[in-house]
Amino acid sequence: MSSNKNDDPISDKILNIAKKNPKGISDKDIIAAVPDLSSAELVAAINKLLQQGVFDLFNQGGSLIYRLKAQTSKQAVKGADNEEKVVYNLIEEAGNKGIWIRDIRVRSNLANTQLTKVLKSLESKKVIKAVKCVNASKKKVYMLYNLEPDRSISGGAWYQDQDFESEFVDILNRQCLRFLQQRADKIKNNPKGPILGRTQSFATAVEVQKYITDLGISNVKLEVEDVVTILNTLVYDGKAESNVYPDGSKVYRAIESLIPPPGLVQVPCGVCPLVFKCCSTGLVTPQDCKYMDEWLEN
Amino acid sequence: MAGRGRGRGGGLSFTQEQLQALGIARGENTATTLAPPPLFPKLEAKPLPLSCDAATDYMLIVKDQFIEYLHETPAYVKPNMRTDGIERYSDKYKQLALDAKQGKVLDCVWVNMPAELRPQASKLRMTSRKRKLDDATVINKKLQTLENKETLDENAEVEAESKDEDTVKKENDDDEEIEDEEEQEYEIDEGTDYANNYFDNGEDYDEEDDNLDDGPVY
Amino acid sequence: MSHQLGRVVSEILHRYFGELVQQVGNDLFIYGSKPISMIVKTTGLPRKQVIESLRTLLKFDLASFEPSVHEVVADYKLLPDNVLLLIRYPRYLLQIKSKYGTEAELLVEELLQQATSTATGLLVTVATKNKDDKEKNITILKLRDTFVSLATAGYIQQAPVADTKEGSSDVPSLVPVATIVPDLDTRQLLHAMTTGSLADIKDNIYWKVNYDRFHQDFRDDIMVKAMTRRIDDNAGELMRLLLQQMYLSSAAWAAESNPTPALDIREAVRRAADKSLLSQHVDHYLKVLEENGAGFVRRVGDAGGGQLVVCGRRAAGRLLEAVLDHVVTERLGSNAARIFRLIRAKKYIEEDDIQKHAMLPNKECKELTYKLLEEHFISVQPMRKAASAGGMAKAIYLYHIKTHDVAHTAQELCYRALHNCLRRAAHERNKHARLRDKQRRVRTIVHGMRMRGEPQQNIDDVEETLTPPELALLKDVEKRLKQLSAAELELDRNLFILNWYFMYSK
Repeated sequence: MSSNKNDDPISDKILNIAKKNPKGISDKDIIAAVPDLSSAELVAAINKLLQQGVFDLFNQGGSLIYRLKAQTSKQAVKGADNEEKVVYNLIEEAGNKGIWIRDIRVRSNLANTQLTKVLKSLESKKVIKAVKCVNASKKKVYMLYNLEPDRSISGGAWYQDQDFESEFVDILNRQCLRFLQQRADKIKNNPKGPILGRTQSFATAVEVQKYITDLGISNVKLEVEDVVTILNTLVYDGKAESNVYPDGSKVYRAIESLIPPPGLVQVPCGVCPLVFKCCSTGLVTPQDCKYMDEWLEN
Repeated sequence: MAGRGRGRGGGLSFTQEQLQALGIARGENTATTLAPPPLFPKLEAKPLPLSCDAATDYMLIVKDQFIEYLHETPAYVKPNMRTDGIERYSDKYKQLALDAKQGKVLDCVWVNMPAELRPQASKLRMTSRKRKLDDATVINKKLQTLENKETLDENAEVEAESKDEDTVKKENDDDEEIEDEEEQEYEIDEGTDYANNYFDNGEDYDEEDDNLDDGPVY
Repeated sequence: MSHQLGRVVSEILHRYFGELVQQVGNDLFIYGSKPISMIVKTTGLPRKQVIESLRTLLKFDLASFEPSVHEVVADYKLLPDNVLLLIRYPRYLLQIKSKYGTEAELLVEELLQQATSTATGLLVTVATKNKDDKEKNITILKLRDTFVSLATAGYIQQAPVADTKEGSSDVPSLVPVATIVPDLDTRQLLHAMTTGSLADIKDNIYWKVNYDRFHQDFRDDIMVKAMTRRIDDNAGELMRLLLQQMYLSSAAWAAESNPTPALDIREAVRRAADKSLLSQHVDHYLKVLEENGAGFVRRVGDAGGGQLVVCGRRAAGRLLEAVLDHVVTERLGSNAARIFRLIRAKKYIEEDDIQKHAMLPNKECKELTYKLLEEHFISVQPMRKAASAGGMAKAIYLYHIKTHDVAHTAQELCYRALHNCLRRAAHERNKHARLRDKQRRVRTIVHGMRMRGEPQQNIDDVEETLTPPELALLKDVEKRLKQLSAAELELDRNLFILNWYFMYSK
């Protein structure tokens, strides 16, 4: 039984980068990932991993490349019984999207109690893990222990232990808007003409990403697509519009509503929760309306 | 599961011990929370400030002037004098003011109005209708139909009944016409000033009351 | 026609023409079309007063009539949309005053008050009323010129006339006539001014205010302002010029105007020339307007340096959306507005996807979605998947927006709000009627005393009959009434956009 879990943090880190780069990693990559490491320690760590048979070693263009060995089921569940092998195969098949326990049961044809036992055993061996799904809090999916859950399961940067971080999103939303607003006025009466002005008031997602990163408000690394997600919320807030450049990249510009707030929202009835109950007679009438009273006092 | 079943059956949901365990002393649970939720819950959002500038001020003034103007013209139709049973010194003057206005007729392009709305309409039509009844030809015609009927009755009893029906029908028509006219005349009568000033079915009194009692004053 | 519309119309009639006209109006609103005798029967009012009320309604074009089955009597019908316009009168005056000056304001004001008038009658009345006002310096000649320009520009038009060809004069049928700009004889007018009598002039052409022409101005104004907000002043100005060009070749309310060559626009910009930045970059501004102008303008071809079309229907749609966005934002909060816009952008969307794109916590997102559903801002369409293997078939729910229905919801809300403002104002007036009456009387007396030049001491004595608390209360009431009245104007602006949208969706 080979466990690819190592107890020391250095090996862990190396494994992580290796997982992210299925094509393999070089010495340099490892040094970049764990910079505060003496070369002796590094060599020791790598040797240990090689010994465990985690890596394949290649020579590519004069430099050494370590690649994570494809894990075959036989290796992983050495010494396991047939049931475990079947379940393991199903879980491996599902990849980093995971598989729901019900689907395992249906497809493996195992009885409920037996399946639970098998899963428990695999879990205790740290071969598989259970991951909570973000968009269905009670749903658990199983995947191989060493896999990073897919975004659709983990929710990506916006989730901390399956909890949606709305405050974080709000802050990013506001910061993005600030960035766009800083350049929004460039289009107005630009002496060089409106097209140039418009270009100056546009921002690409990459620019916004850089701004956000430089602000240092996020301790998670935000990908460009994360920033696009935030910028799109601004579009849905009606505070930005997006255009597509000829090269296909999306650009954003801060805008105002076409009209100032209309009459309806300037009167109490426009925001009144009782407006549909309001009649000419009865308890809720315009004559005796408390909201009107308050409004007329100002 | 068992608890749920018992709850449904009615009766106490908790025993005294259970309540005490929850930190609720005897009698405490009935004390509060009986008041209904407020009729007007606190507003979560306030309306935005009204836009108000010089243009709005101008429009408000113009609007009030326009309404005031309308109220001074016959376009503002006033009900007949109502009394609330209390004589007032001012009544006399109010009546005077009202009379002065009542004399006026709204200035309209009368040719574009239906005849029944034109000021002289009621008089004209009444006289013309009277004349119609007095008209010799109409009377003659009437007499003739009656005569015809008589002769028919005397002469041929066997003669075509259809013809008889025809005349009867015609007669009925005439009768209806007369009734119609009478009804219309009556309505017009109601329309004269004289009738109006006396007409009070008492409903008006109630209405007045309703209007004054618009609800409690805060 | 909705119940809410009936309630507003009723309150407006009460405010402007009193209780009896209100009752007759209500009766006509409920029953549609009916003759006098039926109105008398259902309202229980004396026939004479029903007749007076109908005269008022017909005079101000708030009702119409047609011969009933009896031919000699007419069936009357209320025109609720025209009743709503009464609230818009001040805006017409503001518009004409700022565009054509005081003379035009006086003419339109008088014409609105009279509903219809002959040209000579109107000119002489206005001139006579203002002949002592040195400040304004109104002369009948200036008035005449203004009248001609107003008629030429279409702000006033000839009133429909009774069709003389048809036999029955008991119930005339009114037919619209083409407006001919009149040639008014100066000498006759001056003569009428000096004698103060119109008897010598034979003028039987009646005029009335053309609301639609004003509405075009309001519409243009909204579009220009929107482009100014979205891009800049120059783009707004360009929009104005485009609209002007549009009027030359298209119907005013066309869903899409006929194409205008960019060359003509360039020419128009050159002539308007005070915006140097605009004339320098006309083509660029046209392009930006086209690409970032919320779809108000569309390029349809390249002939003549590009062909441009003004999209009235789309503009109305976009502005409606802007109204709805504001309403949702204020009623349910900005996160609800985010969901609302998201659903609009995606057309049909599943609940899970809403959460994913709106980036809101699951629970809040669901709650807001249901609130939007509850207040009829969004709709839901269940889709049954064909039964698939394993009995896993589950219905999916697609959220979407029925724009037309939501616009109706907003309209109903506006009607309710408008009704409530009017009702509340009437209530305030009623509650303090006695005091307001007293104030009015004191003012009249004081005014009379001033005219007679009575000593200040006596005037003060009369004025002091209003005690300080009374004065404070009066001031407070005035303020409340002013606020309610201003709210009516704003609600009317709101309704204008909604009605503009409905104009195309019928």
